Amino acid sequence: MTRLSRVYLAILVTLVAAFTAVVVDGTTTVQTSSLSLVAAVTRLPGPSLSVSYFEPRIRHYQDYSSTFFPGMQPLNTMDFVYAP
Amino acid sequence: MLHSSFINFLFLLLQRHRVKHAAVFVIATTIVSLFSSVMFLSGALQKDIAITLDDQADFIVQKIRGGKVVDAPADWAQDFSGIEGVRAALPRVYGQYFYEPNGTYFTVVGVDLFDTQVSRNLEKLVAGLNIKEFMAGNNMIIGSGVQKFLADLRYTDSFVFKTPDQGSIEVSIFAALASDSDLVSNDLVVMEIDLARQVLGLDSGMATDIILYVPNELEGDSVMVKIIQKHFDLRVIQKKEIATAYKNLFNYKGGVFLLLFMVVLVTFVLILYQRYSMITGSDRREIGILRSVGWSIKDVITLKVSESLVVALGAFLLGVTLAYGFVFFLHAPLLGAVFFGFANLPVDFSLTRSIDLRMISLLFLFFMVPFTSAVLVPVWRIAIIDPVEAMK
Repeated sequence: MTRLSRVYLAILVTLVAAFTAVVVDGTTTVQTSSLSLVAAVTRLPGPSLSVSYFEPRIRHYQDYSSTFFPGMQPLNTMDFVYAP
Repeated sequence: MLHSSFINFLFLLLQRHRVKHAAVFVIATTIVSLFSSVMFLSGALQKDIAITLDDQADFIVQKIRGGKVVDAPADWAQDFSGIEGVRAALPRVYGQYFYEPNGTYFTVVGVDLFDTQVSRNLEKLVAGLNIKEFMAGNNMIIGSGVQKFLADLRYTDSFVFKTPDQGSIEVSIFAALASDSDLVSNDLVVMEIDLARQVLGLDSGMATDIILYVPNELEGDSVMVKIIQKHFDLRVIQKKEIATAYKNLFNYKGGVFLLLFMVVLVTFVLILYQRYSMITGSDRREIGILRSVGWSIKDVITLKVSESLVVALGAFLLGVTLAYGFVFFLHAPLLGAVFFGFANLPVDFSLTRSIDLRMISLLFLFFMVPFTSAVLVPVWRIAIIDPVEAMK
């Protein structure tokens, strides 16, 4: 095998090794327990999204008293179709 | 066919056409890494949110007046706890505190520190926390996003909350939550439930809503009917509705990117097809020589397709690896703002590293199959050229 082939093969093997490392890391990493601890203390669901004051911090608790939604709308709301 | 001389020749060709392949490689890597980043972000967020939902109540009861959520009497909790199948019913006090000068808000949550489960979890969360000391005065535990925000405004020991009744309450910063829980605690301010009532302007004996725990799923429907029958101004939200709402939200955002990805991929495949359809004089000569020395059409196609496969495979592997580093180690700058928002406190979440093998396989198929197909037809057209004609 020529030197050029060895260089290309080495690059390919490195890429495969990096990809394998990513897959192994992604499938074996354990989720941090502090997330569930915070949720157990506050009893509030959902991530701490950096949304506007007029958007519901917890999405499903919205009561439609505010019509200012700059974010993307779920497909099942008419706001998505007609735009607010 | 895959013997060492074939491999040598394959890499020799790649080296010879390196400029042509480099452009395709860079574009393909960018496309794969962009879509993988979105996929990783969306998947990791959904996985982390699922964890927080596990600890949530099965039903949330809100009081509705004229289509708006209003404060509910806290003693409704006792009323609901008598329903058969309900393990516990608790009042919840929370809300947003708006800081006018910066147009920023915090999420204030009142917790009942006499609830042993809550105080135990709080002690686990904040190392060295003394609950008695915490309860002794007006104290709060803040998320790291709030801590950074208040520190910038020189509020390092305490913060003065303006209450809706024109008053003010000074609350000491007792502790800050670790940044590894930022995903759910970035904008949080945790304080004693009565203090939270004062800050949010709730009357004594009122709550934001009532939560119910119903351990037996089969009893869910009958419990829901009994709740609705208790009062006529209720809205009951089930845990599964919240889970679906978040799933829809992130699938929707991920879906928009998927659509964009499909458009970009189709365009890219068309460009590839065009590019490989352009037969240059050197290409013709190259194939003419190969055919003259005894290579069959099948051999030439195998060689040319292998050339493209190496480029596509390299781009796929590099794209996915880069995306993983971008999302989980660099915290997805710019792209993260699409999923986390950027209208309030700055977010710098570290998501739990996770990979969905089904999605990766799907991406592999969606990328490799069109890529290879786009190359196959033009390559076949080149391969069938008559060797004598090609070398003229």
